[in-house]
Amino acid sequence: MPTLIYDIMRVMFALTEPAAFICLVNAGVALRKEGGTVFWVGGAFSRWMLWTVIFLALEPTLVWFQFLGFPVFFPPGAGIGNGWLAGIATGLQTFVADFVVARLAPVLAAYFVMRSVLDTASGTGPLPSILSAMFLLAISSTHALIDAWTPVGNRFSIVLGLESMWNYVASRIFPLAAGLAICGAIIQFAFNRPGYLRLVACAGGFLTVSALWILINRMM
Amino acid sequence: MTFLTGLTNLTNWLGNVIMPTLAGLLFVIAVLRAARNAPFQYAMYGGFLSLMVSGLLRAIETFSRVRAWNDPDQVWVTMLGLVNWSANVFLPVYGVSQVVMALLHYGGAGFRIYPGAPWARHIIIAMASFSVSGLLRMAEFFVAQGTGGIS
Repeated sequence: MPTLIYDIMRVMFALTEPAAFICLVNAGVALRKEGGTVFWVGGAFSRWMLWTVIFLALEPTLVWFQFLGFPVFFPPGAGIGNGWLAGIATGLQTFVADFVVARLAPVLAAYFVMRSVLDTASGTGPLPSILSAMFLLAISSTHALIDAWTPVGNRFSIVLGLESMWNYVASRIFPLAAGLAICGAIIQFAFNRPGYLRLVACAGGFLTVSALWILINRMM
Repeated sequence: MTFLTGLTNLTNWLGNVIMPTLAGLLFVIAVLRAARNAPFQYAMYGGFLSLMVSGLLRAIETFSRVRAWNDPDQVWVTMLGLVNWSANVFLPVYGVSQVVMALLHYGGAGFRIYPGAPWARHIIIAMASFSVSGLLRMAEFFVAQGTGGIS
C-alpha cells in the first residue's frame, strides 16, 4: 500500500474525533429545537447523536469487513508522515478544539441561558433551554463518555455505544428527572393547572423504566 | 463539567433550595386568595408539598424499590404500593380530619360561626397575614416531624 494512501487514511481517522464534537454541538442545538426535555424520534437530535457514536466507533466498525473476509489495510501507527497532510489534520483538530469546543459551545450555552429567561417571560418553562445549555457545556465529557463506550477492535462497537447510552440515560439521568418531575407536579398543583398527576406518573415511570423494558420483553 | 453533575445540582437546587423558598410565597398567595373569597386550597397545599419534595421523591422511590430493577413486576408493584398507601395510610388520616370537621360542624362552627362569613374571614386572614412566617415555620415543623411517619 502506498504511503500516501496510508497517510490519507490516518488523516481521515484523526478527523473522526473532531467530527464527533461538531455532531455533539449540532445535537445540543437540535435538542432545544425539539423541545429540550424531549426529542423527536428520528429527528435531528437523535440523528446527530447517532452520528457521534458512528464517528467514534468508525475504526472498530471496519473490522466487519475483515470478519466478512475482505482484506482491510489499517495504517500502521497513527503518525502522519506527509507534512501538509499532517498540517491539515492538526489545523482542523486545533480549530475544533479551540474554536468550537472551547469558545463556540459555551457561547451557545450562554445564549440558551438567556433564552430560558425569555421563555419564562413568554409563558413557557425555562427548563428546555437550561437543559440544552447544560448539554452544550458538557460536550467534552459526553464525547469522552461515548468514546469509552465504543471499544476498540470490536466490530459491534456502534451498537455497544448505543446500548451503553441507553443504560446511562435509564440508570443515571431518569432518576434525576424523577426529582424534576415531582417539582413540576407541585408547581402545576399549586397554581391549579392540569397535568400534575401526569407528572407524578412520569416520576414513577422514570424510576421503573428498566423494569418496563424487561416487562415488554417478557410480553413478546 | 458533565451533564449528569449539572442535572444533579439542578435537581438538588430546585428541590432543596427553590421549592422550600417558594413555599413561603405560596402561603402568601393562599392568604391573599382566601381574603378575596377565592379558592386558596391549591396554593396552601402547594406550599406544604413544596416543603416535602425530597420526601415525595423518596416515597415514589420506596414504592419502586420493593422489587429489583430487573423484575418485570416492578411497574405493577410500584402502582400497587401507591394504591396501598393511598387507601391504607392517606385515607385513614383524611378520615380522622373528616371526623374533626364533623364535630366542628356539629358544634355549630358551620352555621353559628361561619368561617365563610365576611367578618370571620377577614379576621382569620388578618391573623394569617400577621403570622405568615409563623405559619411557614409551623408547616416546616409538621413536615420535619412527619419524617418519622404516622404514630
